[in-house]
Amino acid sequence: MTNKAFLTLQSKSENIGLARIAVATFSSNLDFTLSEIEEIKVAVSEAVTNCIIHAYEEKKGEIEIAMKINEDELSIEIIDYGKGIADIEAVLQPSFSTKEEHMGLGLAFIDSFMDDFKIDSKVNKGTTIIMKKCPEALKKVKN
Amino acid sequence: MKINIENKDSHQSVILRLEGELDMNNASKFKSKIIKAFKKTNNKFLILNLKKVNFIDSTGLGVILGRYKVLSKKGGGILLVAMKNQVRKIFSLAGMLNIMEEFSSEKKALNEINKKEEIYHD
Repeated sequence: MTNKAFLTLQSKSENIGLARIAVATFSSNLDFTLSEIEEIKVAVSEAVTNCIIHAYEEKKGEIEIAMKINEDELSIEIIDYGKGIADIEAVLQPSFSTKEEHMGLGLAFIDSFMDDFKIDSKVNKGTTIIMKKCPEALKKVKN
Repeated sequence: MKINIENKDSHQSVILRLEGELDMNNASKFKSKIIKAFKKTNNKFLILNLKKVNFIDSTGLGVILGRYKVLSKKGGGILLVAMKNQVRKIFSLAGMLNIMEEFSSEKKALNEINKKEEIYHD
């Protein structure tokens, strides 16, 4: 099957829950288990939180979420037009954090819970994080 | 997110019962409630009842770890109670179950503090 949906949010912490629920609802078109849906929710929460805290530094901005299903694969793009990441390698290190009381685990959670993720970023232009996941049950059938 | 707080001075503890989802949207409220609860007492253990918590992410964990650092300096710590599987997975992946013990009930957590502190009641 194919399907797509698009969501634009103001960069506000009140919208993180909405982003999670929207992506979880969209994801349930595929045969994900409840546990897998929970993992997707964590990944979305981390990515949207990063946009609010790091990309826009808790100031005004817009976050876009592009969701797609292509056959058995869910793809989620989370796009911001904020300050961008100068050194992507550095932010991929576990426990890398520029803020106190932030654990630097956001991207590590995304890496653990999604099958694949990649970051495209340009300084002062913005960042796009692309995350992909297939239901585990379907992977087993294919293998 | 709803927060219910009960002081258990007899066990040098604050019991905090959370309900809902813990993310960036309510992390500051959660943190200030804990700080306020401990300001009133000299307690050093936080019993965190997560039975009704459906969701937590790294921002929520960050607040809990921050409080753990403060309490462990006082010789106390954080005891986790009744986590759902999806919440436990997040704590585990972050390595936090290596430093915080988990209990199935508040009573068991209080008993553990009794053992730790050798507080005996008549």
